[in-house]
Amino acid sequence: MNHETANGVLPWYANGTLADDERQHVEDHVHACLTCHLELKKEHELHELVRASPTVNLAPEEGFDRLSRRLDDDARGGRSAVEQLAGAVERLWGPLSTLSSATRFSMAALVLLAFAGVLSWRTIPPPVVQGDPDYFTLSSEFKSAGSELDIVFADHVSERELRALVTEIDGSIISGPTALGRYRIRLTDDAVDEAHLSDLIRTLSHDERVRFAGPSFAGEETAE
Amino acid sequence: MTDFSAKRRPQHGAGQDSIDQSLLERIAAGERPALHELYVNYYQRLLRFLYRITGQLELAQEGINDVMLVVWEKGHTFTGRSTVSTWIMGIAYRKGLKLREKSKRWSDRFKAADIDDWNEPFLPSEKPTDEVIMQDLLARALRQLSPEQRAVVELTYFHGYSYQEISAIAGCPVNTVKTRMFHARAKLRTLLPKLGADGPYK
Repeated sequence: MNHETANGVLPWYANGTLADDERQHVEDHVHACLTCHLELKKEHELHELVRASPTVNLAPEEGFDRLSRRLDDDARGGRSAVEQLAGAVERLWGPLSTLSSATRFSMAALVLLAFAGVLSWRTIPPPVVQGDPDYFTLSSEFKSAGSELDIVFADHVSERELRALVTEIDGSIISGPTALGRYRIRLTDDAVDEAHLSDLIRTLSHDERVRFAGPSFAGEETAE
Repeated sequence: MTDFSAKRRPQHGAGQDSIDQSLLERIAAGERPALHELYVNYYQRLLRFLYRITGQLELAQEGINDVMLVVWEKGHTFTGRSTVSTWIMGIAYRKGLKLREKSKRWSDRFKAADIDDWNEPFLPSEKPTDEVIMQDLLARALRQLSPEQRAVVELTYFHGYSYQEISAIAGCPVNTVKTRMFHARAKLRTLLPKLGADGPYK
């Protein structure tokens, strides 16, 4: 085996996937060639470095739920017009997420204005009723995502302590941490009411292991 | 004689492949629980691989479901010429490149930066250790590679595939895999000059 051939397969020698005869040839060459010997050292370091590089850990259940809904829709023989529109918006929003917040906000505002223009042209706007649960202002309380909450843990909290706390509140991590260190937690009891959730958040807010605790808002992305 | 080579990652063993094959047979028969099991087994692997190709978590998550939809619909066409893992990673490779391309078209259209520029800046809260700095350098260096080169590096060093398997995953000749790795190594050597200089990461 010549130098170029041996040097070219060093990454796979280092990951242990070469066939026996090829591995033997490379090994013989590495013992005789100082360049490849040093190169192999770098290969092992690179190998270790890549293997030690952080992996994004997310719970698969939420993703599988989405896939299941997609399969159910297909099984029903297609989706309704509203669902198709929602899907199109979702698909559109994915690529748009690469844009800056300001650009996205401007585009969203333009779309909303155009939509509002069409609506005001086509229909008479309904009167706004005080106390109407569908009417929201910036000071309104947003609808929370039910049994989910967001937590940012204190800096000194180890992973073991973090997991212990999540177990204490009978929950599981479904996503996170985001770039800001926010975890999304789903409580095991799906039937948890808002009062219980508020109590829990208040308790957590006073816990020295927690820097921030708050409800998760329905539809809000966890990735920053 | 000293064995310089590393041990293969256990996820590629024959035992694992027979488990995957039996799950795939059940999926081909329309068993949703088998799809769930395979989904869970592959989730982190696919998430990491797709994230490495696309550079975006949202796209990686979308990609996983695209891949698993193909597995659900085309599981019966799997012939067993490769391992199930190689077949699934091949689907992920193509989906990842497509998603990245689609996303890049959008960012180009709106004059936004390339998606690789959207990664979080390195903001250590404490004095970073050598290892943290080296990992940051590696992440930046990998972003300088093409998605195809990044995929070869990731499949070799993290997922532990052979060059023949990577050739099947990427759907290209073995020599193309070696060439991509050659160029990737050359770039990484330049971008990570401390590698191998004087022991680990010194």
